[in-house]
Amino acid sequence: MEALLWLLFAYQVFVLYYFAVLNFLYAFFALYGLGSVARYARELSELSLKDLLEREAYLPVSILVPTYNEEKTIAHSVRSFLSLHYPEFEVVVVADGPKDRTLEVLKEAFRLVPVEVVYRRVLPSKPVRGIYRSTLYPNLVVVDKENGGKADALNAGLNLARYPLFCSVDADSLLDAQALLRASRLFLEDEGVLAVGGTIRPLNGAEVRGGVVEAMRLPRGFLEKMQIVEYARAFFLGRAGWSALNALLIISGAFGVFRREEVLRIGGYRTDTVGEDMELVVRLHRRAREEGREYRIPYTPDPICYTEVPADWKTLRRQRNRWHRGLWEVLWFHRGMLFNPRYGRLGLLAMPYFFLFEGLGPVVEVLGYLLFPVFLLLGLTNLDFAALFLLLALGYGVLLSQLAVGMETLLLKRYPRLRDRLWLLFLSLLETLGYRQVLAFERFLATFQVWRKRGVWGEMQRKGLEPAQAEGRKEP
Amino acid sequence: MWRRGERLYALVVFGVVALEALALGVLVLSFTGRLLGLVGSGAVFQSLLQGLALTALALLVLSAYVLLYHAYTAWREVGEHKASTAWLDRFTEALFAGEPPPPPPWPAPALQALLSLREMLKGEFADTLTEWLRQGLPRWARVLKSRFASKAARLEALDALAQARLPEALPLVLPYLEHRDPVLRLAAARAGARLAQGEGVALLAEALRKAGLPRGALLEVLLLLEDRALPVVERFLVAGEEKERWAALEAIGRLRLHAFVPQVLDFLESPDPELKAAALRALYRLGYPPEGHEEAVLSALLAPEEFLRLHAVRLLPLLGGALARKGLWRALSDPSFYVRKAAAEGLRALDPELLEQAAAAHPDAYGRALAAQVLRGA
Amino acid sequence: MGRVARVLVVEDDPTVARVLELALQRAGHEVALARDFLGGLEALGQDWDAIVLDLNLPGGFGLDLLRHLRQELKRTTPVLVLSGLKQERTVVEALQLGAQDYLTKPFSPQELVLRLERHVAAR
Repeated sequence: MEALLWLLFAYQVFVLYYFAVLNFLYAFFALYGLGSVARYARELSELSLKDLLEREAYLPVSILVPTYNEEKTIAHSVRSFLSLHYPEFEVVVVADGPKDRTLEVLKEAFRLVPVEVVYRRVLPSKPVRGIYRSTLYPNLVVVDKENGGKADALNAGLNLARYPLFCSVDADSLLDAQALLRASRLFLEDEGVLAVGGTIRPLNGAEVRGGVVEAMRLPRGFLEKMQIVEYARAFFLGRAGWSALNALLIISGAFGVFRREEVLRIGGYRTDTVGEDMELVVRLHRRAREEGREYRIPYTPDPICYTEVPADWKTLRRQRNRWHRGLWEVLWFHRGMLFNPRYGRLGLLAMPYFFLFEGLGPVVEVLGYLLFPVFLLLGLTNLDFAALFLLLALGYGVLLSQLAVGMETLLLKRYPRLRDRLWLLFLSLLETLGYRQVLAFERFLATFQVWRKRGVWGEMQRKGLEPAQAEGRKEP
Repeated sequence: MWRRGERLYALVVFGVVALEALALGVLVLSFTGRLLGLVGSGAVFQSLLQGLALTALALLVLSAYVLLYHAYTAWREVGEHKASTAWLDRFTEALFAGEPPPPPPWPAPALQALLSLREMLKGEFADTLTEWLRQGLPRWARVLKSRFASKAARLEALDALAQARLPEALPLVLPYLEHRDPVLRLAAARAGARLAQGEGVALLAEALRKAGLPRGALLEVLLLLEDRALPVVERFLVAGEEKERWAALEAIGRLRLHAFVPQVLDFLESPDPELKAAALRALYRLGYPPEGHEEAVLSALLAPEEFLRLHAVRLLPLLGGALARKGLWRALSDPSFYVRKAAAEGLRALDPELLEQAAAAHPDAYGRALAAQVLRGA
Repeated sequence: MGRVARVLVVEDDPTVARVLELALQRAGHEVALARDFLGGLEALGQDWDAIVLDLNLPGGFGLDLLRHLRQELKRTTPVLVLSGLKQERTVVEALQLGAQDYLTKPFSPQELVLRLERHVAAR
């Protein structure tokens, strides 16, 4: 009994130190990330962008769009990809055995005709049932294959892609017209760049006309508003920080640009994990380090991709559950890198951070909440102390979120209304009072479900575009 | 993508974070002290309360700053936009009416309007605008020569000079090609490419050689130079290292600089596969058959590097004759998919009947399949 | 000089739009502006004597507007493309789709107006 009491007390102490280290790290990232954003703030001016666009100084890109049941929105999405400002690119839509009319919609909207193509099947994938080209858009290719999951669809697309760079997107990603140019020019300027990540921002609520985001507006849903703050924090403070350390482990599946040959060389995406986007990046790092090459995998804040975020609790929790399981799966696959000096900052900083703080974080947090009444009962805790400590912890969280909201204010395409700014600052407060705890609990559960739910996705309740947006895109 | 003010914000963030770190540090220390029995719990409570107070203060300061910044920039931008449009109108009117411009000094929005006008127009109007833009030169020169200007300000000044295309500004730009910061070097290279005229181009060429830019950037600069690129290309070919030579070869192809064909042909014999490939690509773009250097092309067809074989195959149809036909036929059985495809497409351009034969009777199965596919025009 | 023409300018850059507007108005013509792809699409529904078309528009590519004009609306309105894109294949595609002229930026407003008037007169 003594031992148990002592153990519980030790846990309290542990929680405090854990919290302290975590927040020091957050602060460190915030500064580092902000520094890197400030440094690269005006690196690529509108003028140079225009010059790049008007001359042949670019690398052609294949945009891979894996899609499943998206009959309502797929035509619109593909059209928005086709209208990107980029001198030479192709759009490869991979229909992963959809059960609805996605393929039919595509065939009608783009006047697809079947073609026989001989191509190099480097990566294994589920059988391809047919390949189609569009008579309207010569740079559109549609692949119909048996269902195999997102990673499998990407691999199939990779086999067909013909350009030296590829860009992986979600079917509902809306890329800023210049996003591709801003991301891809890094590959031209530096041969060591293997992959580039950009910024993802929630599209919900924005005014979209003709596939272009005209103005950012806060969405009506509470959850959607919360995610705006979350994403700002994750990208401007999190990814910017890691990128500045050259230890960026995550490039979002919603928008990432990669060198095709590199990815083919390491075997493409892994199909047995739900965290295939992170897994690919970690493997790219790993291989390059093992081969002792000079390389870079940066995040640059300028290329922007807008994506629809879940608007209901069920989808949101499923999404976070999946993300967290993906994280654990990747950590498990690459556990050899943990604390391994051979992998430099990745092994000694990034992987341990993701293991101890991102992976185990929810466990520590939820255990903390659950054990709190136990501590009280056993008289191990002073109520005042605990309450104040909790308040402090929450306060730090709010501070970080507000830092991120401040960063967002610097963007040219920020949420322009002052009222919205006030809202966002206020939401940073609300985030710590319930929202975050629910998600922490979900991630806590996910930690214990990793083994059972290996590689399982959920389905997203596609809200479709709001009517005001959907009518915006007419077609000649 | 970003408005100004990131420096100040970084300062605010630093302040806030430092405060918090301090508070947290004190808390950890006092807690550790409590654990070790060195201090009473009162001390821990006190540091906890202090931490809370500091956090609340930090939150207030931060929110206030963010809101103020937002309001201020929104107001200022509306003003600037109006001013910019007004200045644009005035300048355009003056330009069309052949009148002198409104008298200087001109504020920043006016210079912005002038720069965007200069960017868009050519001919007489452009010359007039260049004259007017000379008024802005002192301001930009000051920024570039200053030791304390921020990086963002320098980049803006370089961009402004690039848009203004004032040749006399080249001496201001060239020193930046040796700057520590690779971003500034690149911006200066781009600006120099737009500015340099006549003798300035030779100076630029020398500075570029010492700038240590990646080859993609060098290519971009050459493309920006357009028809002024010749002296730079020449210098790169003669005196440059591998990067410069690669960029020069690429530029010759893309800019269609036929005058350099003899040098390009020489590079076909280069031991460096990258340069050899660049030479092959250039000849392909120029549409120039590599007569007299058939052996070099043939040896490239047998090279271990896939990209070399690919470019050699693409060039073969230009040679024509039995040699090309034989080479293309053989290339249909190349282990690389892309080489085979290029061979089939080359045959289609050169000798469609031979392609039909290949589709029917080529010994390599993949070769037959690809020939058939290219024939169908897929 | 010639008759008054109703000219549609499809251009998103405010500087170019303003210069074109002024240049054309000084030459005595009526000018209407469209600032993006959808705006241009709507405007194509009306009758114009000439169209100045930019290619890199928010929401779409200018050549698709040209295609729509020639193939679906079946109009023979003279179209001058004014674009920063200098690649040969873009120029060729524009001319093949039925543009009368292709001017690159930077451009000369006087030249553009003269060419436009010539194409209008030739109808």
